[in-house]
Amino acid sequence: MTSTPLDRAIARVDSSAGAPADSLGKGPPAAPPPTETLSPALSYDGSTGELFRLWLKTTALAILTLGFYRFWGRTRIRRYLWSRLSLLEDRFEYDGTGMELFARFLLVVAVVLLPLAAVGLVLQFAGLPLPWVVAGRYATFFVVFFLSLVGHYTGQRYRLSRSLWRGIRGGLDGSAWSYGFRALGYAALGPLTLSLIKPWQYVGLWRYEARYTRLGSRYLVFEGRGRDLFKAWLCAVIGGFFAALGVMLLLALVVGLVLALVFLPGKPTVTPQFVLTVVGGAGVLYVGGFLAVSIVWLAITARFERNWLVYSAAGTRFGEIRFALEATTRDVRRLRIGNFLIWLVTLGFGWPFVAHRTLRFYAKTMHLDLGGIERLSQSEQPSRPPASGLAELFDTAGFA
Amino acid sequence: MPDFPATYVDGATALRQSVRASLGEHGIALAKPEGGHITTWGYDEISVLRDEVAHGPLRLAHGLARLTVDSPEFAAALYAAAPRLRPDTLPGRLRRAVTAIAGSVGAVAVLWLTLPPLTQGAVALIPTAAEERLGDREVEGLRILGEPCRNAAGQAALDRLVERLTAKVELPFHAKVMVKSLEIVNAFAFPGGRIVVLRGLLDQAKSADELAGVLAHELTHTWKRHPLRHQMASAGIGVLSEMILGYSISGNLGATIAELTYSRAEEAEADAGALVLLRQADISSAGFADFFERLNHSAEASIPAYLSNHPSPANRLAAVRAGAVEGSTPALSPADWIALKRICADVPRRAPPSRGKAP
Repeated sequence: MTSTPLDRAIARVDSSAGAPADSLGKGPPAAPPPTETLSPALSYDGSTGELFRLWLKTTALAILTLGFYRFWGRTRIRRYLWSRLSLLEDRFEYDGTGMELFARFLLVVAVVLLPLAAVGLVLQFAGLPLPWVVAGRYATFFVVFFLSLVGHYTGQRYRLSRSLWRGIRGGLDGSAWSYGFRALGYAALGPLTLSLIKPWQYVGLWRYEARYTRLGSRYLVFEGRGRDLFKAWLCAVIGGFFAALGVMLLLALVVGLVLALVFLPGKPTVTPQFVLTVVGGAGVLYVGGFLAVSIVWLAITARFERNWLVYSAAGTRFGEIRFALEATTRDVRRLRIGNFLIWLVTLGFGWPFVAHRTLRFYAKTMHLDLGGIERLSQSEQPSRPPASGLAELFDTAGFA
Repeated sequence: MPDFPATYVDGATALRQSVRASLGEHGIALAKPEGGHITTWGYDEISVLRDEVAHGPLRLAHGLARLTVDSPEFAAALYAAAPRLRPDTLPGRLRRAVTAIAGSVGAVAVLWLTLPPLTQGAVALIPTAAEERLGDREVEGLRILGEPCRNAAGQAALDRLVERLTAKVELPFHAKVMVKSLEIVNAFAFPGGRIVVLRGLLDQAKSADELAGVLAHELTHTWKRHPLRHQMASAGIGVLSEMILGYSISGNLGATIAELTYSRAEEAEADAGALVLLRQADISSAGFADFFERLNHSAEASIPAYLSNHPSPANRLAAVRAGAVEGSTPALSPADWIALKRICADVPRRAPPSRGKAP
């Protein structure tokens, strides 16, 4: 039996959770540190009530200002979330401002949105030959997709550069374009490989991002290989495929039964009520089917996602500081399904609560070994790179 | 001078130190617990970290250095010494909120006011050939209006009617009218002289004169480029909302028909133009007026569709009646009218999706 870092990480987590520790005695050469030196040094004490009141206030102001306040609202919510997270009893700090977000958004409107809009108007109204119009629409979609990947990275750079702990500023170096091309490559390979590329995508993108992520002058390092996670992902894909098929068959069975009940007694009279019932039933079925398939998919891929979290934590170092994530598949499943439902019900406007739950999850499950954290020093040039207008324009601006 | 226990990081390393903080005349003095001055922060150099929570210790920043003091007395004394650091008062916050709301609404209003001239300019930029292609594409793309009715004799009669209506005016484009099989009482003008009459409207028309009135009206809409202007304005509003709210992949074709809902001024313009076309074609406007009157009366009952994109206040009918024009011959010969009525004979009936709603 080969012993990959994942096996070791999972074995360690299982053993600490009380499972038989049969793989511990083998003494793998590069074993992660024993669990005892890692402690849950993170804590999160955000309150759902406080967050909800702040969210109501900022959302109301965003509506009253026809959307303009959202930059300031997002800043206030981040300030709250960051300040509720603490490491060794010192709270994190977010020092971004709404104005810098807004100013950068305006710049990107001028430089990116208006040219895109001009192309869109020409495609719509100039009466170009149809193939050109179709090609133009695809090209626009491609550009937007690529820029949103770039924006994901610049957004992350912005947020990290406004994050402080004990006065030490975070940051993310590296090239957003380079990251964008990598992410684009993986996204293109996804459909070609029936999504089997996913473990390499996770590992490859996190390796790039981790290498440039810093707090003060110290950088993260991630070592890992996609193939260590391949088996878990293959199981998830196969399981997910059959489960989705099962859900659809079940729905088809329900539809068949309903149709039989309606039509067997004789030809029904087509009244407006009847049509309304049929249309309504189809709508309920569509939404219900989407919900059921999504939730089943999230439930089944939770094992892989949990393995990835455990694996990436075990493979990531911050100087001499090491990480371990101790979560069960059930924890991850609950986190992801809950977050999905919040997104869906609030149409994305509930992102603070997604962030809130996610921070709480990490604070609960992340263990660190913090020897020597006092020696962490400020970067030579504490920098405040500009805010990410792309993240604001394409709304990839999550919280973390 | 009382001093307070505090924790301090100097902004260079993450080393956390216990210190004593005391408030002096010009700033906060920090000293080691065992004695020994560390630094003094001038009152005008420090800021208070606000975390959207009213509770918890006071956190102060001086550059990247941080000081945490868990003492309400310290906070009160600090605010007394440096009133600038006090939390915002409610009236101050309300005033800022009102300013922000007024400013935002004003900015959007200014942007909104630039739309009509921009739309007008953009419409002027579109060449006729492009407008015709646009209209063709839209007519083709709107499958929801049913199948095109292509009976040759019927189409020939329809073309003759259009020819008669437009013979004496200089239209910038070649008008193309077709009937589609949806059984809703409505007719649509598209850019570039493209017009779709629905079978439901053709069935409701009692004479060729009635249909001629509707056609003259729709011809004026497209002649005055109302459809193109509406689509331009709608696209402009889309861009404007993206400028404010961020990019969205909208591409909403469904809005095309909604864009065809005309304003009262445009309806009046189309009615006046219709009367001109009818007069020049020597067709009586009585049919036009009768048709409207019937629609207005039955609007509550079954056929409000036409009125859904052609708003029809009572004074519109009065205006058409007042400007009545006489005609010497019916719009079409009886044989042509019968042929036109049968234009959809080869196409299966297409019932509306639900009662009386516009698509």
